[in-house]
Amino acid sequence: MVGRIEGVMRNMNTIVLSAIYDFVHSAYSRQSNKTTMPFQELPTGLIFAGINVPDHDLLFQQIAQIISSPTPPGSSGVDDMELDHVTPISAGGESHAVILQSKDCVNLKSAQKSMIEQFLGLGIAGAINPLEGGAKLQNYDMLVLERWYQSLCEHHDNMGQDQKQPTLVIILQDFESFDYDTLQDFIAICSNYQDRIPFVLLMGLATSIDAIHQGLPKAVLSRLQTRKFQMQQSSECLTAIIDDLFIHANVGLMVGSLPLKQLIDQFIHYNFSVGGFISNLKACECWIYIVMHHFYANPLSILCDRSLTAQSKALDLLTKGHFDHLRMLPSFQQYVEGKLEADPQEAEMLILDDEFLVQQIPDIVQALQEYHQSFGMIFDFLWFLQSRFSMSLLKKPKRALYFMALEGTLINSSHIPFLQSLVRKLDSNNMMMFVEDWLQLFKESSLCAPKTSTALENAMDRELVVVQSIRDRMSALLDNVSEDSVTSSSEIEDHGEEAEVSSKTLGGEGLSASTFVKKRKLVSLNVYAHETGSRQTKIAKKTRETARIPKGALGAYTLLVKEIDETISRLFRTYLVCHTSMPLNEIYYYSQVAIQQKLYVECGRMINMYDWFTAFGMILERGQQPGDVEVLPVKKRGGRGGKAKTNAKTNKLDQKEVQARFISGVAELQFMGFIKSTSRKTDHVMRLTWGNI
Amino acid sequence: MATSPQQQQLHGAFPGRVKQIDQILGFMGKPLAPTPPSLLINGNSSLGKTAVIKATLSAMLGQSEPERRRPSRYAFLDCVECHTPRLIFEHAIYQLRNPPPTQEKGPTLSSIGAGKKEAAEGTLTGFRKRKRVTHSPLEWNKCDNVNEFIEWCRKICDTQDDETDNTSSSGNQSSQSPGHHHYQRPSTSSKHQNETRYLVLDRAERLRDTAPTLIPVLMRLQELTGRNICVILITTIVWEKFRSKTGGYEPIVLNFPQYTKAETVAILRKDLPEDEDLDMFMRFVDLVYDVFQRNCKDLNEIRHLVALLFPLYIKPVKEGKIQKHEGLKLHRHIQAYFVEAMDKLYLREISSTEWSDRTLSAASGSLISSGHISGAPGSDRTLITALDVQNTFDLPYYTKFLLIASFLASYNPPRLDMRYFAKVSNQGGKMTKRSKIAAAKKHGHDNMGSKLRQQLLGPKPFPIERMLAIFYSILDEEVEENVNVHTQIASLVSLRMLQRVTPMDKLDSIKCKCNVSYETIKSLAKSTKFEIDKYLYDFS
Repeated sequence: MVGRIEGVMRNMNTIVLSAIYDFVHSAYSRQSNKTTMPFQELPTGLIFAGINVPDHDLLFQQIAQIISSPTPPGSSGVDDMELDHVTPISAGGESHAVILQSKDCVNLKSAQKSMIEQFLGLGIAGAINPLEGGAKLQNYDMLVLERWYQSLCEHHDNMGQDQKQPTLVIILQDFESFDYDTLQDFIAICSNYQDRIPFVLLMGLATSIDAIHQGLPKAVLSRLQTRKFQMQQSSECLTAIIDDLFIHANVGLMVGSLPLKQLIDQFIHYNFSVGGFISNLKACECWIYIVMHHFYANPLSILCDRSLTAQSKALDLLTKGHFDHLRMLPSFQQYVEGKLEADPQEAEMLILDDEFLVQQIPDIVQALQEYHQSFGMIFDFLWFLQSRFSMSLLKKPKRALYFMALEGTLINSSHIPFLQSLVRKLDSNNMMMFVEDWLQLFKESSLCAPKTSTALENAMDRELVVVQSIRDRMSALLDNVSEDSVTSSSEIEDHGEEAEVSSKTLGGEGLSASTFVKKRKLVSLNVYAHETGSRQTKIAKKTRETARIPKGALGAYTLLVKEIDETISRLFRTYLVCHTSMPLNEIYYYSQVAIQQKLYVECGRMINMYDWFTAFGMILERGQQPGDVEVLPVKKRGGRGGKAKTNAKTNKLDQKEVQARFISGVAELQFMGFIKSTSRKTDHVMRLTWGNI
Repeated sequence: MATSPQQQQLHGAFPGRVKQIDQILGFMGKPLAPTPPSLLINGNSSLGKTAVIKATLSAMLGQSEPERRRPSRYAFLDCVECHTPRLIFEHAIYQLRNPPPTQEKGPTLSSIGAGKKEAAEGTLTGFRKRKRVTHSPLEWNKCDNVNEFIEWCRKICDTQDDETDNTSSSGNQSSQSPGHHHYQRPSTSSKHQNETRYLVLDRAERLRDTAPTLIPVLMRLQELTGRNICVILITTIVWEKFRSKTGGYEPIVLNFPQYTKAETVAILRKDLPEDEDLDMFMRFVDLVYDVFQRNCKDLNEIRHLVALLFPLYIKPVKEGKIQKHEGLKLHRHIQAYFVEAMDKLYLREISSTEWSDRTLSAASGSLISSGHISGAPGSDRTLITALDVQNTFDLPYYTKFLLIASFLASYNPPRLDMRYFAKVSNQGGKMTKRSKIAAAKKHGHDNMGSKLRQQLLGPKPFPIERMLAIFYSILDEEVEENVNVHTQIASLVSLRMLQRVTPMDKLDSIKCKCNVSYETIKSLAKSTKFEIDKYLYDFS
């Protein structure tokens, strides 16, 4: 899972990374053929990496790795194209990168020391460490580096490699945190040595270009030859991760709406930290916790196996206890209740007969999987639909849509009808294009790939057929219409001769209907322009245009539009339905907010049980606030004077439930090794894990 | 001393510095002649101080010999690089005991001429590489304090040069009469032994911070060692600022004055790109000088601008749109770029490569589309950069509010917090009354003493608690107080958007200042749809 996330992030940054690679490798070769500059500037890349500084470790390590590697990152066509102009040079070029962090560089001495040590420690073949040769050099003396570099170059010469010199790359990871005086001197020294050692600087900027202008004086700035690189915005990263991980991934686990909301809120509101998001996901709230919770605390997790079939071994493992658990799940109860009306006997069997249940389970689980896959598919379609219209006003980010879908509010929201209305408003040629693209989208997805047997056919295939038929009818209709229009336009020849001619030739060649229609529209527009001599609004144009279409075709067209509309809404309704309505969804979706976990993360070493409990209660209370507003004030009054007895009763019930939930939560945490009881202090537990687990 | 070929070459290489070169040569005298104990060379930056000294020393001291196996006669140290006394000592000893670094490129003087002004800031560039082949095991001598250093200086002056020296001493050194023994130590037969050694310290103003006690010692180095050593300090500040205690020796001060226009143009003339028309270039140089000299005295900057703007200037000529002699047209053509260069390039908002990439591509586009040049190419490019910067700066939602809150806390007087941030509740009436009075009082006061506006005074430190209170007040939604808010404060401090004014070891009652400009805050507030102007007191 972590690997997957890293992969996503790397993909997102590939273009920038390869640009940086090019920059570093051509930094010194480029200068030779440029026009004469009055003095040599130090090539400097400014990497705008976003404000989530803790995330940058990974990023800059990646960059260092990429720079040091002999081949540029990625091997896609784009990179090759970009590399074209530097290929002759970058072939033999070699560069070595070190990362300097502000914590290593409190003063000039330590900065130099850190840099030199890192370079010497790279272990490059042929380089001699001057510090080991018995010379009494100090370890922050630039001469050390110079000597080392000379030996490196000599080694290269001896090896018969080309004259291209290795470049030394210094990455200043967190520019803002550096001491600016130190940095000034450091840069000045580097540029002094530039005639002997080809340095390239890469600076990681978290804020904006202003930081560098504030931090460095003119004399230093004028020695830098900067180039800016913009890393992918972290919110984009987040969206990509969610998209990849939750919507399309094949992992056996989904995150429910509440934890996801919390995760996203944390991200948007507080830190923009993808790393934090991941580690939150991984550690505190969801991943480990869920996995552990899931696999230890929930016996049903054995059903998570994707390849569950009737013959699967997992089913043999099921015991009486499992069945009881299963039957206690709310969704299962719903399912059974639904069955009750249709088929009472089956429902009874489900409840009473274990054997029957075992047979049913694989089907249910499979249905769930299929639901998930088609959900991803249709979600893509929704996204496609949204991106089709350039209404920036109502655009929602993918994660928001996903979140709505999880919450179950998506299908009832005004968003989808709005999109549908937009679709309805399309004119005919756009509609055609739209349907084509739609079909394309469906065909491209893996779900709709041609199946080997009909047995594997799934819902999506059926949808594909529907869309296809719509497309076919649509194009047929439009063909008709265009032929009609040819004839009709011939009637009005005198109005728009050349347009009509072109439309005829087009028709003769049998080109695509959409262009044809466009031509036809042009003609009719001409007609009306002549007739009325006034400006036409688009809508008026459209109505008149449709009036031109023969009656039968018009009817068919509107019918078709209607059908499209219905298909879309049906698709959304069936597939974007909230997961809670699926039976057994608890197996995959995990949607209990780990309040305790959240509090736990904020705690010190010893946790006072009572405080913890109170805080837990408070949060639960607050969570209920929007739902039933009355409870809270009543509670307060009940606490003071005990006025309303009925309310006090619910209050009490609530308290009991809270306590029960709290205790079970504590037990789980203890079971998984997050806390342990201690005898050092009464009513306290000890915290056992720290940091971003 | 009649002008030697070296001297003439030096004069040619440094227009406008003839007098200074002659002065320095005068101080140096013959190789064996005693020199003044110390020289101080001062002048503004990029006036050729370093370059002149370097070139003069390397031209006069031994560079003319084809094979130089004897130790260098001078050590050239940069005080930024040598930031501890020990580094200064050791580097000086190393340089004086070893032959000077050779240069791979052709005859030294011509290369100096070509790359003359590069050295103005102390960088001798042109990508010359030090000779790599002479890679003997490094002979490095430890030297920790001044005493040892003086010992070393004596030793260096007394040691004989290598025997190869005797064979190769056929250059202009041979003309010297042997046996000038000025000092008591009986010397051996080597004729170079008592030649003056020079210790050059570039950017010597740094010495005052790194080794303040060293300055008097260096001034008296000749006296202390009893050898013929001359210390040359190169600095941008005047000698008066070096004096710490009385009793130190005063160096001879040599001032490098500003270049005049004629001198500047003569220097820039050397920058003429290959196969370009000299007349046109000189006209252009003249133009640039007139436009920019009021803002920019720095020769390097002017050279920088010339190098980057000249291709644009000659572009229409090359494309055949404008004739060479049509000076006025060319002038109009380049005007638009001047404006932008003043703004962006000079401030290094965009770097030289970005500039040349962009102008060449953009200008060609605009030239093709319209033969007429207006300010248009400049303006949309500016737009692009503004967009770039805007995009890069994005903060999490709450962090934006934290920053806004700290801005408010820094610029609003605390006593008005009630008026601005108290939630309008059941007690609202009373509040408003009081605040009204306060406001009225304030207002009257303002009209008289608005000179003390906080906006003009800069940000005021505020306690974190106050900022948090404002933060929770300006947020629309209820937010629970948690760790994240505090981590965000810490990260804002590390990004230097907040400045912590209390020392790091004081953990509670932290005070900060907001270190962000009003413009930034305004754009932040706009992005969060927060009306900042409503909450700012006495701001415009």
